[in-house]
Amino acid sequence: MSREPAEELEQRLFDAGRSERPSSDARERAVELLLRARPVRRRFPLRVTWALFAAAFVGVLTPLWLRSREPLIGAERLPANGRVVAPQASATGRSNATGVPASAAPVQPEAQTAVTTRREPAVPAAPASAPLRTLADETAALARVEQALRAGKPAAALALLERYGRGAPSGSLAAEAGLLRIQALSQAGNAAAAGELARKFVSSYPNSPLVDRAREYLPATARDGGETDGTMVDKTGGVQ
Amino acid sequence: MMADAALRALVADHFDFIWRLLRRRGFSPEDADDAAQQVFMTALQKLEHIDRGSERTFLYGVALRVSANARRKLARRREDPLELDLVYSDPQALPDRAVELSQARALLDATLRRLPTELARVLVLAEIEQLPASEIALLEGVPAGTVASRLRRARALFRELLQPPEPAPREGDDA
Repeated sequence: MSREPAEELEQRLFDAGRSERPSSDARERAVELLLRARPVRRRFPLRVTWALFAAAFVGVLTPLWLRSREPLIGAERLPANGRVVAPQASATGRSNATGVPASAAPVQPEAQTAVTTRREPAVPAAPASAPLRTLADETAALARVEQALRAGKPAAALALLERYGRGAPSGSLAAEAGLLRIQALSQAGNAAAAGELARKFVSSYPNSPLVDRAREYLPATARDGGETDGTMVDKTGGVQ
Repeated sequence: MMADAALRALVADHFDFIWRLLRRRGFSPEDADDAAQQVFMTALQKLEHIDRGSERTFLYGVALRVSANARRKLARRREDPLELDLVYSDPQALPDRAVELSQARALLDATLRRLPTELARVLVLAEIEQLPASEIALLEGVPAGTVASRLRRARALFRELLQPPEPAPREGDDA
């Protein structure tokens, strides 16, 4: 039995260091702590605060939402294509209001209420040419894209994404932006482009928590009822 | 105030990196969980004003400060002789190429502890996080040339520490 050369031992030690990961519990707890730690001036107990939010949501935001059915930025009207935007509607309800991967934090009942109540966040309207300087800017921009999609304005969403794309998104938000673009193309009736982008998404971000949602836009064989363009899709076990 | 999505993205993008750094600075996995959370909490107030792309540098600085405070408590702890003995004692006793991951990490950490701290830091960033010298320079706040020379010294010293000492004439079991 010979001794392992130092060179190989060294590589094995480095490999052991590289492969180590924190538990997802630790990551999720970090998110929870951060959310709770933000300075919120609370004059009322939490329940009263949420009751007030709920009342405000119903009483104030509903008429605003009704009034918001104007084109966001002068986008031309698109033909109503009768396509049910089921994937993103349900997904939006499931996940954070601004489309952050649901697996980044397990949704606790309290947080779920928070997310639902803040479904229409009062996102400050940024000037059209403001550069995306901070992470907060970037997530606010993506929130506006999502709002446009929920309002059924895919052209506006695509225009916002175009502007957003100049800031070169990085990290986990790049995948978010990618999925929103797929959804916008699909909602605009451009199934081919959505499918092509979905294909690229799946190969670029195979481990993203969003990959299953992107797969829903792949050219399907049978599921979506005749969208196929004849292309075979990888049978990776993902639901098509 | 930072939006939920921004906080979640921050954790998604940087938590693992910070956690591994803390692990290599001597924290057990559980302690690294707590320390990493503490790093993000400490950085929270300033984070929303940090320019996109600079968050990691900022978090890195906070992580070094958080771990420096904790390291003073760890300093008194000697390296576990067991890990070093795996290599330095009778070579015949070493399970050839069968060292468990946790043992490998323990030996990694024990050896890193024996380096001067600024050498250990660049070695970790280069070999474990596999960052280019330019990024290491940003994180450490030193010129790229300094990074290069520290890396050379770090690698040489680390390799030397992994070599067994000159075998002394020994009879039977080690003490």
